[in-house]
Amino acid sequence: MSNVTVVNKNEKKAREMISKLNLKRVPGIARVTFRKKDNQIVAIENPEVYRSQGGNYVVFGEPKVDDFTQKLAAAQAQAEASGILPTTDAKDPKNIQLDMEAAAAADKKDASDAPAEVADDADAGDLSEEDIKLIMEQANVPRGKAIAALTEHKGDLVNAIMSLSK
Amino acid sequence: MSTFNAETADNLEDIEKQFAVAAVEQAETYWSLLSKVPGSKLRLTPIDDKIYNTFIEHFPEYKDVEKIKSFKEEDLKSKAAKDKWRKFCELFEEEVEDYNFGTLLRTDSSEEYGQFTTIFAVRIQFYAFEIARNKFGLNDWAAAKK
Repeated sequence: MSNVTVVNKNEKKAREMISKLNLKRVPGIARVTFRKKDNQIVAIENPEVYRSQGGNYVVFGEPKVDDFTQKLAAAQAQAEASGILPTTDAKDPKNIQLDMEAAAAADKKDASDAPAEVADDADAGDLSEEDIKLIMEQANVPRGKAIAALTEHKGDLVNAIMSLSK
Repeated sequence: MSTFNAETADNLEDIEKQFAVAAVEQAETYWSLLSKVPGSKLRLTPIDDKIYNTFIEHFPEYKDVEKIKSFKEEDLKSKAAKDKWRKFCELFEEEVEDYNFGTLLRTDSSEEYGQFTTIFAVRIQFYAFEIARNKFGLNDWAAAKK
């Protein structure tokens, strides 16, 4: 490969030889990639691709180590760090909603330091027993979860049930 | 350096729609509660009584149960009413979760949520009316229906 690109003379020779091999140009190839064993990707942009009658391919062009995946990861990491991109790429409404909820939940955690999970025999504190039972019934969750949700939502019944029925 | 990219930026409209989705979910959750438990037995927040008393204090006209039962959208959305409600709303900033979130509110407690009987209000308005309606048993019919 390096012979082909680095030394122009060699390339010329190779092209001449190949042209005698009855190769057909394959048009419309934008990119050829090679994946090596260690998952490194070598890519040739806008290659000249020829095909022999036996089904072998000859590719001309400048190979480059493709660090596309690394670039993508780096860009994403940067965006996440700056808080612009959420951790998911998909931007359908459901994901936006999840992002917003996650953000809201994080806010609340910081503010009240509420426990995420409460054991089933947890102390209900000053929560209303009726509310807890109602939530267990409506959202079909164990007592611990009902108490956690009710605590997290400051005793707001509808919000607590909503948060559990997602 | 601005990292804003018009190609990949979220569609504002989609984000806005999330408020509508959340409002509908809230209404559905509330209605499913009302259809199982008589409203007069429900406690929506730990401070239902305080919300009701403050509501009546600020809006004495709603002592009249008929006005709680059904009202007109204009009653809440005239300029004067909006100013009063805004002040009322801020009183509950600390105590009521999502106190200023957009929320669906029925204009008539004898109807389900419907196209012409539902308005877009804020959460504290929802609580003011629904706590009062539940207090007077105006929603109990929903659970008794079946």
